[in-house]
Amino acid sequence: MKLNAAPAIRARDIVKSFGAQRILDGVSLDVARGEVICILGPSGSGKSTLLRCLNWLSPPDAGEVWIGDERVGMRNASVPRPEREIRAQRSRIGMVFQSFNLWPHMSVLENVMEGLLSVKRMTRLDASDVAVEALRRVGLSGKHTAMPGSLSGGQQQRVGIARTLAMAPEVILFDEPTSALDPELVGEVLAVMRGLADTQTTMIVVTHEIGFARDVADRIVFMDGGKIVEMGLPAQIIDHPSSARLRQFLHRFTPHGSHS
Amino acid sequence: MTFDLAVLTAYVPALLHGFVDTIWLCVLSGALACALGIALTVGQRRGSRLLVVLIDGYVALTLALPLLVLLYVTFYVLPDFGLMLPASVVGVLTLAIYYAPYVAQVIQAAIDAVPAGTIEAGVAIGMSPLAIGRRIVAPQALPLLLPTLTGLMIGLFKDSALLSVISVHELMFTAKGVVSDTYAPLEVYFAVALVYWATTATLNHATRQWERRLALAHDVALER
Amino acid sequence: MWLDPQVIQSVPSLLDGWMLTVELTLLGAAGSLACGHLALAMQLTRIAPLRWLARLYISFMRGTPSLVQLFMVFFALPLIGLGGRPMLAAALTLGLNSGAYTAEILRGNMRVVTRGQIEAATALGMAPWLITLRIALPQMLKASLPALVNEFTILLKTTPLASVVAVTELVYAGQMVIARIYTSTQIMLLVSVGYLAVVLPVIWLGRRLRQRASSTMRGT
Repeated sequence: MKLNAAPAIRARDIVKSFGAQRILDGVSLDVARGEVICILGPSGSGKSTLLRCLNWLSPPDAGEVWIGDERVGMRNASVPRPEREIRAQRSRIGMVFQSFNLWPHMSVLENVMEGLLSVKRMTRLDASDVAVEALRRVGLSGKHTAMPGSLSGGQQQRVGIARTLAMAPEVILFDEPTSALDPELVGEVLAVMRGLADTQTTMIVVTHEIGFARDVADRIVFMDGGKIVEMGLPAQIIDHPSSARLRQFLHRFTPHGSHS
Repeated sequence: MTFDLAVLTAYVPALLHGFVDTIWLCVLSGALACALGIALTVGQRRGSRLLVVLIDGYVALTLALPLLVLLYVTFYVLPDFGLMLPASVVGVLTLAIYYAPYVAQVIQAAIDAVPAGTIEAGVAIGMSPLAIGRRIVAPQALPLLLPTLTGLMIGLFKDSALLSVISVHELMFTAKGVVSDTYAPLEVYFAVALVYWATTATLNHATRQWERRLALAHDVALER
Repeated sequence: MWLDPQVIQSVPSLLDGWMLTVELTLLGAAGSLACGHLALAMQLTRIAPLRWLARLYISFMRGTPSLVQLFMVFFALPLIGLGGRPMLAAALTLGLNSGAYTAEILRGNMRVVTRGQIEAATALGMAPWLITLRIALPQMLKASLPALVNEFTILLKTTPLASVVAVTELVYAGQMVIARIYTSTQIMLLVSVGYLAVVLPVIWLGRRLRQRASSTMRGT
């Protein structure tokens, strides 16, 4: 199932506080290439914060992050990397946001192309080709000239995914990608994500969609209080939780494992 | 070239006098502008078609014309028609005529912002239009009105400096006299700028305090 | 027509004055945008003295009459070797004065750019200057358009100030003609028409822009 290669992305002993609140209390996680990790947990457990530490959007107070064999954000334990290098690293890590965060003054195609033009410095022609392909993969081929404001939530999120896909990142971080969607639109986004998982995309997904996690994840991570409480195969985690906290968490959802 | 504010010490009384003149002028034209603004509002809401058209024309003209042009028009044109008024009268009148449409706009906006429901309640009880105006509209419109109105008056205060070009005796005109005496334009105009700045800053601060107090009172009223 | 033939003969000089008014307005608008953006950028830095300087600039320009500002600039220019240029003094004053208001307009429209939009750009690896240029400024300027049109209309109405330092814009041109041929009323009428001809359409345009802005907002 998993190849014996360097992990796509690694977190070691991540600690992060906001003021007096300790949000992450020593989190370590290895994600192999092509692996799909789903992170579950109650709000405040630090799930989103962990993602933001991984792409140095919100640098951790302590701990290490590695992408491939390169350390993210820092040259070594005491010397931070210059901003230029951090930005280059960020371009290798994709992020999909709960509130989509599309740029409203640009068309769908321009949104997807922007990173390719500004960061990867592609020509307009090349960027356009890549963007068109990314949009095809998320099923929005007919919407190139549409403006974000005219799209449904599900469509906007799919554009967000395309925007990330176009950059060909080594791993994609999903921060509760369907939490802000009306229930009937959740399915189309999950379908796209399933498709990505099928093509061996390395994904870390913070989500409340237990059903999706059970079906698609290679491993499920349960976080609570800033720590990883349990980690394992989906069937095991969902059907036979060993910790009381996880059992308590899962009880909130219907017996079939996903909330409506 | 040196910057020496000490040359002004002999002229402080004169400049102070000019400042008082300015305040006087602004109070007069401000009051006139408000009165005229109220008249315009009433005229637009309750006047005949002809009156409304005339008022709209007057408003469009004054909104589109620069104050300086208006000043020169009243200054040059009135004598042509036999009206020889002292410069200060021309100045006060022109300022008032210029600012009245803005005052009217602010009053209109404040009245429009009064929740229609409160007026409906008054009508339902059977209150007369006058009573509704006095007891329902005015008390609610006033707090919305006063801060913006003060802002306009601050603008009027700054624009009063333009009256100096038609030789009205106010702060700027006095300053020009001091400059021709002392040959120290930078010092004089810098000092004058500070006076204007201090005044507007104080007025702005007072307005903000006032707004805060009004907002608190409004919230307290809502809670009940 | 009840216009004196002399008045009709002076129309060309009035038109020249009108051209200068337009020129002053354009120069002032350019200066206003430059000063406004600079003042806004200064307010957003981490360097406290720059922030204070910007706030001081905005407070001073908005708190003092433009006439005083003009005289200060006019008499300060000779000190840096740029004396005897009333047009420069006028354009500079207009730009500096209007810039303070432009800065506040832009600042007020910053919230159009949400934190999330900036995060998305950062997560892609975009540099801050690029984010400002490609994401923030286009949206801020678009949102500021009605208020900026209004501000530049006010700028146009402030250009007669230049007549005080003998710049031959429309008002001064009118005064020169009156000094020659004494028909004040008709000349002043023409001058007024000159301003109306420009300002009224711009006000109308501003109103249409505002209507369009509020209707597109309803669409989302």
